[in-house]
Amino acid sequence: MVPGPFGLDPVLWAVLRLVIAVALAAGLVFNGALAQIYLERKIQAIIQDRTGPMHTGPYGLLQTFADAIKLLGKEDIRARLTDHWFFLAAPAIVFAPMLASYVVIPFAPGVMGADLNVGLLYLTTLGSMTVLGIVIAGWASNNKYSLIGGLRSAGQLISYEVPQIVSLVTVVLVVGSLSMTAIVGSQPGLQVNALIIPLAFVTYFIAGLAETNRVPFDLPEAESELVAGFLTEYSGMRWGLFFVAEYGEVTVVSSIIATLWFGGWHGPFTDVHPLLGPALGVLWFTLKTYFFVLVFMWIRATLPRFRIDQLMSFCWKFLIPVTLVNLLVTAILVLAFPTSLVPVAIANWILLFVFAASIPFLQRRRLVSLRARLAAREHAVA
Amino acid sequence: MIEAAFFALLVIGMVGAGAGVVLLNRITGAALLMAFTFLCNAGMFLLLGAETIAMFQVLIYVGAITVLILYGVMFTPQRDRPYALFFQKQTPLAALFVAPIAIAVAVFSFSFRDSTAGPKGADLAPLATSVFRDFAFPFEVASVLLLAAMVGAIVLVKREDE
Amino acid sequence: MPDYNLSYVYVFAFFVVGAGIVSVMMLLSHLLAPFKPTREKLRTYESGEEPVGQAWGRYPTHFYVFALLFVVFDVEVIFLFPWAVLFRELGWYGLVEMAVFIAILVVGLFYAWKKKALNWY
Repeated sequence: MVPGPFGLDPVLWAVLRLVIAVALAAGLVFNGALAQIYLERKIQAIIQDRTGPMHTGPYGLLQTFADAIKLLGKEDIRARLTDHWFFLAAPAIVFAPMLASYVVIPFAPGVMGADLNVGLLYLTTLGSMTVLGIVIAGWASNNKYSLIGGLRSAGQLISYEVPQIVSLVTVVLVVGSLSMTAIVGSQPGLQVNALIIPLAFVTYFIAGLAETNRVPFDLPEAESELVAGFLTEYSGMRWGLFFVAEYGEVTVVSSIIATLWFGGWHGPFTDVHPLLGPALGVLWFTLKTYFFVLVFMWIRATLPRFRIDQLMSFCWKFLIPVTLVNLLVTAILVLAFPTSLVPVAIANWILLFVFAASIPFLQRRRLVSLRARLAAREHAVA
Repeated sequence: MIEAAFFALLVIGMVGAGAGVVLLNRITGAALLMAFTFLCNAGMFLLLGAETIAMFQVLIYVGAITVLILYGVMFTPQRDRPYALFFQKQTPLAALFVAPIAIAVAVFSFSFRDSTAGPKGADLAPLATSVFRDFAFPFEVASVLLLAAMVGAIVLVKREDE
Repeated sequence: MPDYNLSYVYVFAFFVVGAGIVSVMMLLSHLLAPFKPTREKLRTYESGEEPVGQAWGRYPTHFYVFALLFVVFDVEVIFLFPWAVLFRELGWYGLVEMAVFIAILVVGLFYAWKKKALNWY
């Protein structure tokens, strides 16, 4: 136990630090959700060549406050047949692991909840607990749409966990530790992991899109499919909590990307001053994280949605083999050249180009085989 | 002191949830209480200092196996058990058979001396060395077992479809 | 912070606060929102039609296949974590072991692919 600043009693400092950490994390989650909802509407509006919210407050800045107050005041409609306790518990099962993810995120050298030795493993574990919450939410609504939506969403989430975890393990291979601070520490200056293992970054980004139910993988929440999937019977603040949990999860995934592949809190002038340095570190970290959040939103405004069978076959038939091949190639090269990381980087960039170039090639092959099958069927009929 | 409090909480949670799994009428409720038992088990591992095993427990059991069991439960015709399993005719006979085993296990577990545990939280490295160096062959056999499970499930599911 | 016990107290506290925030929000909403249930409002939602039958029934089995494949690959992935951390100490021997492990499971995935078990319908 360390004594606190100004010589505070260690136990008192531990409790105080815990309270501050929890308050900061909760504040981050809720303010982040508010900011992201506003940003999302504005960015979608700009890309779709319209103005977005403009009336509530200057440039519509108070729009999310108005939305939040409206959600709090909405009537809590609960269909009579729902399973009472599980219906109540589902938002908590989805929200609590998301909040608990903020314990291990490294904002700055001293500014971190708790540097667990297995920080990365902890984050993946929390990701897998959300699946249970969604299944419960879908089932407890006692609604055919909700049930199918919940089971589909669970199927999507569990499928994309495998390439996600294998991409993370590829980074651990190069770094050699699961602790988040060690991972940040392994990327001094400009030698960020994105230059060394870019394919893992791309596959993790895709899997992260699917894990957080964002476009193009947002089939479970799409308004034109199955109403709103597992969220059909949730109204008012319950729905609001699910959405805050989703935006919180997007922030967590973006901060994992920023930490693992882009150097976390590293940036110019971070070791200038013992007090100002960490503050600048937090600034760089936030900028990197929100850059990726903005990319998520950009993708939302641009890409169409996958069907459930396209989504699943993309994961099992393409992403999982690609991530496993990436893992094995990186492993072989790290062992073969123990002193330098340059061969790993070269091989990984080659793999990335092969990955990107093979997509149109595979699509063309699929199209040809589909056309052949269609022609064979017509020929058989005629 | 605090550890003892957490241990008491975990024990109550685990035993209560375990009893609930057996005694509850609603099957999905039983499945979810089973997930809670797994969580309490992970908490026990944390108390012992095996954080990696605790994370693995949550990842596999709560993340995958509970979802599998819930899928299975949702496919069976949903008729909840009309009565708890406790009040059946075979209960006295079962108690007669189980009581000596339970007493033996209790006596055995109370006779444990304090084992020399390693420092808390340092269980990833010994785990890796023991799995990949001492028990490498059982590790490969485990993969063949997993392959058999996969193939078996696919064969069964496909046969139902055709 | 290398202190083990304190780290996990943090984890536990965050979980408790997460559940607490959800409860507080629910309570706030319960206090602030009207609650006037009518028969129409209490019906399950089915795009305006009358709900027919229970929500449970026989469902296609591909859900189960994907769940089982996920269990198997999850077990594979948890073996990957310790291997990746001690990767350089385990050397080529560990790499060959893990490659054989992954290869055996990929054979299973390939079998599922060929038997059309990976098609979602």
